Amino acid sequence: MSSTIISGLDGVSFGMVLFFVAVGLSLIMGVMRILNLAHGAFYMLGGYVGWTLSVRAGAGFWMALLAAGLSVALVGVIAEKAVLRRMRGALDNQVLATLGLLYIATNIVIWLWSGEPKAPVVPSPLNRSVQISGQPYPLSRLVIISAGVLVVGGAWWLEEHTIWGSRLRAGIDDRDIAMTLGVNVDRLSAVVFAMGSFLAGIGGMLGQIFTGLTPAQGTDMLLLALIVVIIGGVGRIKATVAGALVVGIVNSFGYRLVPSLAPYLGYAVMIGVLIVRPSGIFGNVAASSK
Amino acid sequence: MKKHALPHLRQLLGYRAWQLGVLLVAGLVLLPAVVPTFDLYLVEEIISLGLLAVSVDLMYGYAGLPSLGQAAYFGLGGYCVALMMLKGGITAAWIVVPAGIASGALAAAAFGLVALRTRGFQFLLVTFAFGQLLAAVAIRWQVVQNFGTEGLVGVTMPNIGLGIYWWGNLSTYYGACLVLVVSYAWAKALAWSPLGHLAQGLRENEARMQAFGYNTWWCKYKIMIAAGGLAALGGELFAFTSGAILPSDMDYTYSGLAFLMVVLGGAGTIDGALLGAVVIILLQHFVSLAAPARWPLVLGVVFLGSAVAVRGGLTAGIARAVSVGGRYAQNHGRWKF
Amino acid sequence: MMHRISKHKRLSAAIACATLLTAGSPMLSACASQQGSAQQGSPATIRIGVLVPLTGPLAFFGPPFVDAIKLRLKEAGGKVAGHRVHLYISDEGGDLSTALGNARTLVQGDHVEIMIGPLNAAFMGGLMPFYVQHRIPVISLLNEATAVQRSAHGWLFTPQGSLESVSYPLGLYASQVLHLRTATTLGADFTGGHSIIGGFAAGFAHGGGRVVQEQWAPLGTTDFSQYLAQLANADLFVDWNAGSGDQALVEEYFGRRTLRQLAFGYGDALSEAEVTALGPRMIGAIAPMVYTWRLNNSANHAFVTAYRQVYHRAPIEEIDEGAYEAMTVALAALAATHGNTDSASIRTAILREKLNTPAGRVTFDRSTGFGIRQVYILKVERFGNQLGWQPIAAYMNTDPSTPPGD
Repeated sequence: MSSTIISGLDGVSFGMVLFFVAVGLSLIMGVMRILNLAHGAFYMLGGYVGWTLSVRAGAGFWMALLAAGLSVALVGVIAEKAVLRRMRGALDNQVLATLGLLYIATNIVIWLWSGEPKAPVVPSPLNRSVQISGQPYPLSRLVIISAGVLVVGGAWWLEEHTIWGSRLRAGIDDRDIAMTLGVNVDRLSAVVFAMGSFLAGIGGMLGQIFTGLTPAQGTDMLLLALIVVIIGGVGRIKATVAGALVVGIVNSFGYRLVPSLAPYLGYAVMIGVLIVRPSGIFGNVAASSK
Repeated sequence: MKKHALPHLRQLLGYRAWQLGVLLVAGLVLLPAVVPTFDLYLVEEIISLGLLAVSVDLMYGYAGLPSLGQAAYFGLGGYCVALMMLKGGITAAWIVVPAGIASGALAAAAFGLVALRTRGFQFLLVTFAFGQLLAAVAIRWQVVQNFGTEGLVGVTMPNIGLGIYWWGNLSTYYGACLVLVVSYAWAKALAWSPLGHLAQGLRENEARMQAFGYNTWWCKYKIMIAAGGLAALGGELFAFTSGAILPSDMDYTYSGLAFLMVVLGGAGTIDGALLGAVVIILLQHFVSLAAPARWPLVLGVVFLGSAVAVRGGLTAGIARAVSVGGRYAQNHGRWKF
Repeated sequence: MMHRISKHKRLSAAIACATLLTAGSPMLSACASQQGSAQQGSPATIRIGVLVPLTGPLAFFGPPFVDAIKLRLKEAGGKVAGHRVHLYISDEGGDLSTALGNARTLVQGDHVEIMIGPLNAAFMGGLMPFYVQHRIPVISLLNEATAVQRSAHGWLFTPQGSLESVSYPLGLYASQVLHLRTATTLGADFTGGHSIIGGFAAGFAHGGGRVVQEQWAPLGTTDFSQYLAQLANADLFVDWNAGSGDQALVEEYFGRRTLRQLAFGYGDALSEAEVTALGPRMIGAIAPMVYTWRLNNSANHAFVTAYRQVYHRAPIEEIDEGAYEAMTVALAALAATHGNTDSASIRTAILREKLNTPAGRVTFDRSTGFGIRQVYILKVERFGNQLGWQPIAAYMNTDPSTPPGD
């Protein structure tokens, strides 16, 4: 029983980090119809910037966390305004541009920080274990779960219970009609992009506590985020949460139950979802087809 | 897609396009005379990856199916050939080559049944997942490994049994060129066929084609099988000329690169895919020699720049440049023909 | 929409395109031959090719590798047996076609006579047939795929030996000296990981121990929690997931149930800086390694001093010494043949070498080309306010199928 709890906590904490990365990707796809393949790079940049501030500049963890999110949000805003805005509707240009950004970001990370994996930075109050059903368990993971729950709750509230949120949902469901109703979808998109990048950056600094930092993360986290979006669906907070939790829990329990098939379970679930419900568990059918 | 409003190179040249084609083939034949033999390997790589890019173009440029997983079939073709030759002891070209193509086509036929339930973004994501899955299996499955390391090494050109037992640099090169010419002709024929036109039609507006009574799913399915077979042929050639096939040949690395080649060159024109392959492979090679640690950065900047600045890819850009240049010459009376 | 374009314009367009394309090919050849003509001036120049990862997942190994090679060459005055030596450095990249393309340029374009690298064993498998075909002796570091080495028919020389032979002594030490009886392992799920864990397991079994659990994590795993949550009750935990980031794994490990003894399958898992960052909980962890800068021999003292002078740091990465050794092997062979670069002479000379390297004495196994040398068991200890790897025992590296000599 205790091992189930431990696996559950592991899966949920990993799922929370995945949520931070995938939520931006999903909302941007929904509102702007843009596939941002550089989104994983935002996670990576957030981690490295936060790490540098913490380790080299001696900043406190929470300060570094905030700075990481803000600097990645800045990068995101620049990328959106300068590059991605003019590529609405042109999937080929989006792939070309965002993959180009990914190549550039990965190589810059190698250039500035060398390719060596970095040791995680854990804030000292969190650097201890608590007893969970008789076994030590890292406190940092529990804090990540709480942070995730807070952010999910906040985002959900924003989406469902504010006027801004209803405009967001309108823009995702039907951009043209929303515009006729006076919703400034372009400005909305810019804000969503900034928020999505901010969350990815924060996710990078939180996630590095147990994923560490490597230049390959730009690609690795992108792959995971894409799986989350396929399983959960595009365009709604609850879709991303569902996808992230499914991936996290399948990861941790799958290994416990069928260790030899564990690497393929994520893909199996993904293909299963695509056969049964192609737009994802909670996917918005309108948003997911182009 | 707006690209049909832009001048197409072929429309510019009209029936003289085939004359240009002859010139290009002549150029290929004469290339070994001006280029050191070892650089010919680059051309072979361009051809292998170019075939992969053409298969992506058939999917995306013609049928409107953005596939980020064509390298799965590329890798399957290479693995099929490598397994037959290295573990099965079968080296006859007339068995091995079609078997590789068939492996790609069959895999596409199987996978298409699942993938074609989606469209747009979703299709992109599911095809990408397929490539990742195959690569993950290949890394672990001992059956598809030799020398105790991932992948199969030691592949050589197959035996074509006309008394040619040994393939040197030059004969391998001409063999690859022959494959290119035949595949190009086949791809063009497919593009100009009723199936190809139907594919372009359903890319523009699938509902309308259905209203005309066409079975659009069946058309997409056939294109997918054809593209799978072509990608597998590219993979075979890659295995033959580079001597090895690795699990990473099946994942997003080459799928993404091929997609980039198509977009860079201009989607919806088979020539664009090949032109994109030429540009990207040459760029990768020469930049990697000049700036060994920074070449992905340069490549990324080139991709970003092309996405922002060039509409419709290089073929459209060249066509525009040629059209503008010709009009300038005529208006200013320099050349009178 | 399309205007009718006069056929004159079409003809001029065709001519323009054709000219562009045929004009392009001489440019291609000019660019290519430029690399080859770089050192045509002196006919006695010896050309050594270096293929290292400068991009891709192993990119951080490339620059220190190149630094160490250049240092060794500088110490030799840039010459050997009166001939100048020129280095041709190229990128093996993250995929085989980059490695192959650049290797071909080095061998067929720049006409290198000896190759150092690639480091990635998967590429080594794909490249060896090419190297053998062109009769190029190849020197690299550790070899993860013994089968590749054996199939390379005496053209591949790996001074650091095979991965199994390096982790085997860890098993011996843990069982015979520390008297640990049970072990659980977590290795990276690819050939290298299997070799390292396999070598350890063989050594451990030889000393009377038992591996009670083996776990394998795919390359690129970001979250190790599911493996750590399942850790069996054993005396010893052996981890090797270099490349995925052992630091994060170890951090997680300390947050959960820890076992009596922590060990790493090979010491490259954590550098001294990373060990210090992980803190005093690391004290007592052990790992096998072919080199550490704290070794006490005269060659090493000179090596460390040189590194501090030129690069202002200690050669703390084993790649530093490994690359230095690889270059030493090449230069020693060339000195023995008096500058004769005929491949048969070079290969014979390498096999006959008895080198005093900073890591100790190195000779070569005649039948395989693996290096025969000492493997050191390192333990994390405190040095002032830093932590570092201190050598506490030494074993000869041997094929796990034969009993070791101590």
